[in-house]
Formats: sequence, C-alpha cells, structure tokens
Amino acid sequence: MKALILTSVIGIATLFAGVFKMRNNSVWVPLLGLLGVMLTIVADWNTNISWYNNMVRFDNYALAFSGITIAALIFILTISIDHYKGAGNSIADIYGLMVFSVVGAIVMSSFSNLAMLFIGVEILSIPVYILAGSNRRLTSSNESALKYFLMGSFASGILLFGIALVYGATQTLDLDQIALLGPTVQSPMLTIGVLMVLSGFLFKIAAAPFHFWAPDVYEGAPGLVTAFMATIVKTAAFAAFFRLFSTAFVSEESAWFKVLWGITAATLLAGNLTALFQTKMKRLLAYSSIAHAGYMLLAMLTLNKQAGGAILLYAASYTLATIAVFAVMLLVSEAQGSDSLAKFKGLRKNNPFLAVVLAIALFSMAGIPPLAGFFSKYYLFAIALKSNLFYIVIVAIVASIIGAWYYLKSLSMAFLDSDEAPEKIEVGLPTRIVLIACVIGALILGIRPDLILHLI
Amino acid sequence: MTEYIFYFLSFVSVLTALLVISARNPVHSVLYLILCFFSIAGHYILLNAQFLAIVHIIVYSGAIMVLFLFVVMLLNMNAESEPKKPMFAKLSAVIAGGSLFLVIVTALKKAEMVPVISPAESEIGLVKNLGKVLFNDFLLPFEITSVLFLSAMVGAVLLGKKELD
Repeated sequence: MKALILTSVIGIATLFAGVFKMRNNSVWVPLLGLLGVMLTIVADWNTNISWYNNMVRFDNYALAFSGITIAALIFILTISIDHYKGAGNSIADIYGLMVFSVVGAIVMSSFSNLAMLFIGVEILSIPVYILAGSNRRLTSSNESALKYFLMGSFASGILLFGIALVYGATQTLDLDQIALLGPTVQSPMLTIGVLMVLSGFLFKIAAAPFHFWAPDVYEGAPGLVTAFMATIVKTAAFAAFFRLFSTAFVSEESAWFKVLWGITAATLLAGNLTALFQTKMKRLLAYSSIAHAGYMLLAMLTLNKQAGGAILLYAASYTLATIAVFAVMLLVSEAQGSDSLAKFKGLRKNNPFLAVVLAIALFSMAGIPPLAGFFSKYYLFAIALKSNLFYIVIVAIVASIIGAWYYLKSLSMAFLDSDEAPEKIEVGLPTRIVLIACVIGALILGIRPDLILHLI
Repeated sequence: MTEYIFYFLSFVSVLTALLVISARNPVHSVLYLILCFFSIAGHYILLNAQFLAIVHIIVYSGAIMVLFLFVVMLLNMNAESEPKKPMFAKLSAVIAGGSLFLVIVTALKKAEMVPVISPAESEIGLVKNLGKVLFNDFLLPFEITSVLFLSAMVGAVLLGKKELD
C-alpha cells in the first residue's frame, strides 16, 4: 500500500518539476522517488496485508511484480537522461505519465477485487496511449497512438463486459468469494464472463490472434515508450492475468483451458515465425515480445499457483534483456537514422561495447545458457511438463529453436565485417550504467535463478 | 404496469441501437444513440436507481453526445464520403460478430432466472446509499480513479498544447 500511495505522489511531484521548469533535471524527481519506493517494497516484504475491504492485497506476489515494474521504470528513466537531452518543457509530463502508468501496474499486481482490476488496467493503459503519441511531429507516432487507443478501448470494453457477467453470476467482485462460489455456480453466464475477461487480457499481452496491433504500435511509438510497453505493460498484464486465473477462475478451468492451450500454441508459432521475416529491429522485437508472451502463457496452463515464481523469473530476465536491446537499438538508430537490421552491420568494428551488450541480451532472449533467459525458459518448461502438458512443451521447444535462429541472425549482423560500419557512437554514462546493470543482472539470474524463483 | 414499461423500453433501446449502426447518415446515428441512452436511463429508473439515471443522461446524452455531434459535423461525414469497405472485411466482420451473438444467445438460453430482489425494497440506487457504498466499501477504487483522471488531463494538455520551443 505504501508503494501505491508513494508512487502516486511521485507522479504528481514529477508534474510539479515541470511547472518549475526543471527541464532535464526533472528526471531526478521520479528516479530518486522510485528508489525510495523500492525500499518500501523491501520493508513490506512478508507482511501480506489486505487493505480497504480486501480491495488490494500486498502479498509477496504483488510486491515482487510491483518491484519488477518499478525497477524497469528506473532503468528506462535512466536511459532517458541521455535520450531526451535537449527535449522541451513537456518532458516532465512524459515522466509523470510513465509514473502514473506504473501506479496502474502496481494496482494490477496487487488487486483482489475485480473493480480494482479494471481501474488498474485503465490507469496502466491510458497514459501509454498518450505516450505512444507523444512525438507529435511524426505521423507514425500519431497512428500508433490512435491504433492503440481504439484497439485498447475495445479490449477494455470486452474485459468490462466479462467482469459484469461474472458479477451477475456470482454477485460478488471479490476474488476470494468468486473462488469460493465459482464451483457452486452452474450459470453459463460465468463461463461467458470468464472467456470475455480472458479475451481482454489476451489482447493486452498481445497473444495471437489478438496480436495484430502490436507490431504497428511498437514501431510507431517513440523508442523509449516501446521499451516501456514491451516491459512494464507486459509484465503488469501477466501479473494480473496469472493472479486472476490461478485463484478466482481456477474452478472454471474447463471453460478456458482448451482455448488457452490453442492460443498458447498459436502465439508461440505466430510470434516466432513472423519474426523470421522482419527487417526492422523494432518490428522484430515486437514479434519477439509476442513470442515471449507465448512462453509465459505456458505457466498459466499449469493451473498451479507455484508457477508464479517461474513467471516472475521469466518476466525479470525478459525485462533485463529487452531494456538492454532497446537501449542499444536507440543509440544505433539515432546515429544511423533508422532501426533497420542492415544498419547494425559491422557494429562490432567501432563499438565493441555495444556489440557485446547486444550479444549478451540477444543470447539471453534466445535462451542460451548460462544466461537468465535459458533458466527462465527451463523452469517454465519443467513446470509445464510436471503438469503433463507434453505436446505444448514440444511446440514451445520448436518455437524457441526458431527463435534462436532470428536472434542469432540479427546478432550476426553486428559481428559481420562491413564497409558501412557505424561510426563510434557516444554512450553517455547513465546509459552505460543501465547496460552494464542489465548484463550483470542477466548473468546473476543465469547463475543463481533461485534468487527470484523461490521469492514468492 | 412496470412490466409493460420494461418491454417498451427494451424494444426502444434495441431498435435504436440497431438504427445507430445501420443509419447511413452519421448525424442520424448520433441522434439514435441519444434515444438509446434515454431508454437505458428509463431502465435505471425502473430499477430504482435514480441517481444513475440522471448521471447517465447528463454525462452520456448531454456531454459526450454533444461532443460526438460536433466531431461528426466538423469532419463533415456523409454517405458519399464513406470509404468503400472490401467484401472480405464485411464478411469476416459478420461472421465474427455473428459467432459472438450465437454464443451469448445459446449461453443465455441455458441460464436460469435468478429470483430478483424487488427493486422497490432495495434502495441501493439512491444517492445516500450509493454514497455510503462508494465511501465505505469502494473507497480505494473511488480514490485511485483520481490518478486515472489526472493522467488523462495531463495527456490532453500534452497532446493539445502548442510547442513553445
């Protein structure tokens, strides 16, 4: 609860930093504030208190996922110190919106009432719609914002319709009550409600066949916002998804299990296969994020509350790798004027540091030991096999082999010799710190995955 | 008596909702939508939820619909300027919407009627009771919504203001 209140206050304080025209110094307000929020999360660990008539419950699950989203925002804000150099007055507003969006992420990982869930989804989404269009001079940014807004509103509407039907069938919004009443309610209204909530979530995490918006939106939005969407929005959506379906709707498993099974397979294959044909880094990362959503859906199929740890580990390692790749991509595309894969050719020649960071991050995404990505995939597959999900694990393994192909293909670009190699790219100190932190994080989680796996 | 009013209002709301999507002229669409909202507000009054009915009329039929009308007029849309949609898109939309319709209808056919708490006895829709629920049971969602509105306002300013530098 402290984290939730403090983050909201930091958001408002950030807006004031804009009022007092602190310009590029305004980033320090959210940055230092969020470090403080991290401390309160550590202080609240193992408390497990529910607040305000069980509207939110800050158990370790909620705290851990809030921690990941806040850490991701700290990384993104640190990169933005270099990236937004010389931006106008509105920079504080952008930071403020990012912080508000994370308030939504905290609500989504801690809710224990469906009303809170819906408000959390909206608080998370609406600032991101605006952030996607924050580069007003670019048509692609406007297009991305409008597309995301329209599609997202429909998804929110379907989610809300589902919540209403669930409420109609069980006459309660409380997760514990729904879990209790669920098996006794025979109403088909509950089934339809659960399926509609499921579709709303599948849209938010961009699972096939609800994924068509993702590549366009990711490509059009400003780079840092895309990193925000790929990490924070996705992690928060999964936190809420798993929290809801592993507790309240687990008794309705017969309604959604087969649907989700098919969607998981479709997501794994669609994401990885389409990514093979991409020539632009941002689109490639968009499809790769769709594919990663597929791996995390595996944990959902286990119907096992213990799978939360595996999702947490996956989200952490995916976030670290994604932020590193995005930071490198931002630097290269700024220097080269485009994010097409060809522009990465010969990166190693003049920028060995960036090339090595890119290599480690992409290796981690592809799932190559001893990096975090390997063990997070390993634990997901292991827990799925324990639940007798044999066929879907085979699909996932095939998908990750395809995935390794395009990660390594884009990586080999960076290590090829080329006459058009990028000039030496200046890497500012803040970005350098983030890149090194991501690499060290990926290594530590690869060597000691139990640090996070048994956290919750 | 209440039953007849219910059926009448339901008929009007479904009919006007259908007219909203089938009307060729966007201005007519908006006007039908206002009618649809009014009939839904009538349902709220039948459920003894006066506050909700009034808010519904003020917010939807008043504020949002007027905004809608302005946008439609400013865009100067009419039947001629409507872009031609390909047959494939129309067909897939019909199939997708139709399957959802079918699923809901079959599900609701199976659903049994739950004995409804008589709205005359429940006074949950009155302002006093609504306030009590909002500020006791749903205090946190009510307050946290302010973050949502604040970010929407900041966003409107961010997207709308002139760039000074």
